[in-house]
Amino acid sequence: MRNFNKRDEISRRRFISNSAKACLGVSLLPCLQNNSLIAAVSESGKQPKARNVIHLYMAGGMSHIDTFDPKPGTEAQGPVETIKTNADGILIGEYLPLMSKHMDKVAIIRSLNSSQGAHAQGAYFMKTGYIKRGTITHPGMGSWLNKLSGRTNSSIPGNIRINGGNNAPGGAGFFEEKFGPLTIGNPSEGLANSKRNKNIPVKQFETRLNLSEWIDTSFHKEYKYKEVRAYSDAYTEALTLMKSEDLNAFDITKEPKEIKAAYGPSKLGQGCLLARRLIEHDVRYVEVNYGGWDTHNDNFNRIEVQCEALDTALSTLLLDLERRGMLDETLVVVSTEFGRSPEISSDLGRNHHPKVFSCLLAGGGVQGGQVYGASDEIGNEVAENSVSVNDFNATIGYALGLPLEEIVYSPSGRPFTVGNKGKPVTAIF
Amino acid sequence: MHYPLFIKLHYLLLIFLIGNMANLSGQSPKPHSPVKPVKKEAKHFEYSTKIDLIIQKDLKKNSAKLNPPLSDTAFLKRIYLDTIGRIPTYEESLSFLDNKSPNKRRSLIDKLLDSEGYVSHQYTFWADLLRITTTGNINTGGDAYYYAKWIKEAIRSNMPYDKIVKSMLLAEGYPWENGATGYYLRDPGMELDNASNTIQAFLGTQLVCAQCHDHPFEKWTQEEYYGMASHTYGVNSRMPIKENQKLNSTRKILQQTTNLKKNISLKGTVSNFTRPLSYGVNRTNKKLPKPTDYATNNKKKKDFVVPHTIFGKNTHTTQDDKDTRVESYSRWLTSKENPLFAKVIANRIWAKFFGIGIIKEVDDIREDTKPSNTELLNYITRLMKDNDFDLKTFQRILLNTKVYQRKSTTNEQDHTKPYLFTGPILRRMTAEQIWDSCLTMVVPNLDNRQGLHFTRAHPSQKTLSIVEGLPPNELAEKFIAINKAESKYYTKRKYIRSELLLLDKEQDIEKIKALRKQEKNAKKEMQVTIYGEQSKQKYYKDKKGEWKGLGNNLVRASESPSPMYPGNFIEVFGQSDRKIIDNNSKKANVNQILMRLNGHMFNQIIYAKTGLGGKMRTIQDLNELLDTLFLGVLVRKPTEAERKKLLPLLKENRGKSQFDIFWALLNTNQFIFIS
Repeated sequence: MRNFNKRDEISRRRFISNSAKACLGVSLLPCLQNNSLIAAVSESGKQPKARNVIHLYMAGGMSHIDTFDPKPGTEAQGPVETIKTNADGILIGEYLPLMSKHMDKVAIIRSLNSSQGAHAQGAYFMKTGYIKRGTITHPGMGSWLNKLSGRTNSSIPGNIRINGGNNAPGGAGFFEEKFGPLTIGNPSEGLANSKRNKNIPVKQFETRLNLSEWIDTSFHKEYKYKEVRAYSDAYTEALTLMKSEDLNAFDITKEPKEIKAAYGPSKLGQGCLLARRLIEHDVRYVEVNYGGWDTHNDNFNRIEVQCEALDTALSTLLLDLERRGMLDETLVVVSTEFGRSPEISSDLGRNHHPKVFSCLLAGGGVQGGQVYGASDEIGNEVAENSVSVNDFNATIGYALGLPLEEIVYSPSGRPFTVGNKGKPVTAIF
Repeated sequence: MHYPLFIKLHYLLLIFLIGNMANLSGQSPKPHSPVKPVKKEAKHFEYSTKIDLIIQKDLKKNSAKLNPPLSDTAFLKRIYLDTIGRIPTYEESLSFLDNKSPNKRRSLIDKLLDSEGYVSHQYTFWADLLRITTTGNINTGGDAYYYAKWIKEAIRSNMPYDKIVKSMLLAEGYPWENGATGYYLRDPGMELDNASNTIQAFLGTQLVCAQCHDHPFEKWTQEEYYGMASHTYGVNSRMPIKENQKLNSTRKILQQTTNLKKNISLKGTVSNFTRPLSYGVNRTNKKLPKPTDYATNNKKKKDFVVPHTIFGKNTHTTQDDKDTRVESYSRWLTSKENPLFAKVIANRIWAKFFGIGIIKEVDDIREDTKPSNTELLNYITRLMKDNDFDLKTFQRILLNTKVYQRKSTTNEQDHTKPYLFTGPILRRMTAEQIWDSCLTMVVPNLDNRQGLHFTRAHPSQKTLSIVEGLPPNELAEKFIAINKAESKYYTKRKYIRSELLLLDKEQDIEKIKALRKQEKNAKKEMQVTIYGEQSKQKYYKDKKGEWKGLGNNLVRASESPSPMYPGNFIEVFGQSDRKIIDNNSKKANVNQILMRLNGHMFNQIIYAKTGLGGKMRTIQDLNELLDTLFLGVLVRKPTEAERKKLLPLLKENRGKSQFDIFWALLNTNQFIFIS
């Protein structure tokens, strides 16, 4: 019974937010104030409708040839077979059998290319749309979304990172820290330290907090630094979160056993399940990281293991979102820092390959069952419709209706935009 | 490194750690060599005064003046954090505050620079700069066990900065022979990245863009970058293990007896046991071809780069000699004539103490970069050279300036203007400083407590002792025996794991326990077969009682494996991931606050029977109790207003209120800032 009420509560909240959107149109969004609204209508005439994002980040560089851009009949293909999918003419690697039944929901971009060939720099580029520099830290897409479009649920942060560290790229960057991600180290354990110590009654907890704040009064008065304010903000945020009735959104043990099993036991699978729960509670942006793709040696055995986790998690996520009617407003992104070389090394590995690789987009108004762009016959270079990392980021921004041309200034006075002036791939919507 | 893998590796490392405690078996950790004291020369103070004069001149020109002087308590907190990386204990604070000598600040600075805590704190500085990773796999640049030890020893003996850098660039051999080899082992198979990092770390110049194409914002071309990188391009981070005669004979025997080439499982055993022999630094004649960048995709690799440097005197070397090209490069780089080498380290240390460099971007110096005070930068650069890169002396000079011993600037700096050094800026403690300061309140004699990670022998030593101790025929037999033991264990484990999958976490607790135990026993059995009886697990336990009951993980950050896994205290507070130079963060996040509000650490501190918590319990007088808590956490006495408000609480219900106040102090923002 409680669950039903809970569900109602969520639906009601979503309804309110949706009707607010409907009544107010997009006129409250800054994008109306400039020409980007025109850009925000795709070639098919449909307006993108993504509201939230689940971004699955495959850290280490996912081999495009062994997954979503196979090259059957070439030497580059190696021993991995290809399989047909439920999307006409689209082949994928044999280790993705479950996904082959869901390719109708997915658009593959096979012509991505990056200028960054090292992991840290490549991941930074993919997650921020900017090349890493020593002089500034750029915000990630989740921070852009929350900064420009705000959050829907005021009691839990709008930007959450699963299986990732606090110091990974794609954080708040030069934005205020509150736009950066809350991190969850292990999805099965939920949000660490979110519950008050049982031995401390609420009243005593509040006494302590008040004391603490009071002792800090003169320090706060004296040092008016944004770094100090950020801590005060974070305390407010943490306390709101502790009291939030949505706190159990972080607890995947509340899910039925079968659902947990369907997502697979990997940290990616459990992370996807957690991501779905969070999106259900109106979190705007959830990033789920999954490493192990840096297959310099033993690529073909390792790719099988990696794909098993991805196949199970992603196919279940898409199905689950669809069944709950959430796929239309949730953009699912699968990305990585670069692909892997068509050449197979003596260690049966593939090396870093930023020249061309593949990423996926699904939901959020993306037309499934299509491929955009192509690599050459061995997956070595872009053959058509090149999509840069900036274009890819701009496409995510576009799907979310973010004002791609709006210039936002860093505190040091430098101008930046969502997707760093990339051109969105509107053809896939 | 990617997190899930990283966690896995970390976990494996722990298993290693637990499985390899044999050689410690209850012995106490070895004491290390004493810390070399700082030179105590009077002229240092003249240098400090000169720095102050240069700054005064600049301030006058800009009609500004120094910040107000620093109180003794604020000095105390700052100087402890800046020299030894933690707040002082209650007792250390008292002994300084009660000291009436007019020179007590100078004496304290010297005392701290000469203490073991200095080594710990400096280690973090180096580990961030050099991206030292003691967790993770050596195959991807982790497991820098010997490297970390070498750096600590270099700090302890106050090895001059130029010599440290030179030793690393010239390092050769196995890490257990020469820890400095860790410098190249950090970037295995990535000679170009290693070269970019060298230039960024020691010359404050970022050439990483020019690795793939001409630098977009700077004048450097890709070819110029290649000219730099070609000096160290032949330095290989793998040893020529295929030339090892003993291993070759062993393999030959195994080939004859067991058809090794077809026996994948035995092949795996052999390579696992001999793998440590493949990680080391070996100079080769490998030459860097002219760039074949992503854009041109030029696959012809016939033309070779001519080594040359991007500024200063050229090295006039060729790629033909594997030694001279590295040697001439290391000489050029660390020379006093190099226009950036001394300047960059001087500015880095300045930035560390003042929260901001004289050149703001300490490792992104460009041609158009303007220092906020050129005379000052030139002067400290000269000091660095005149004192022969003696970092300890250099720090002594800076710490004794008036400008350092001023209050932090209270208003936020204007990014568009150069910072006038009216004093340091407000800084948040680093993650390591916060962790170490927390432990200061709990762990007695903290700076001398060594971490298990570094007191144990390195895991590879056990396998190496087998490989090195037996002649080829016996070694061949040993490999077969090991392989059998391993196969037996893995078969058993596979069976157990498949059983475990069928069980329910909540209902079959007993069955799960039994299976886990079986697995553990099987593992033990395998280890006994391989290493003999003495492989039984034994932990080093403190029997003297100083650290009794305090978990093995409660050691300083420098003594813990690093970087820590996501969700760990140090990681959450912004420890560098050690992927990129100086990648630590001092930003706020909600995870930190949840950890402070509800996490284990603060509870452990306030309810501890050792350290500050233990002290608190023994104090009768409530005024003294309040002083102790404020001094122990915030390193200051309570104000009159604070006393007036808090004393009645203690009078009313001391049992409860003392913990409330202790907790409240730990949760203040001023605790984690250095004002």
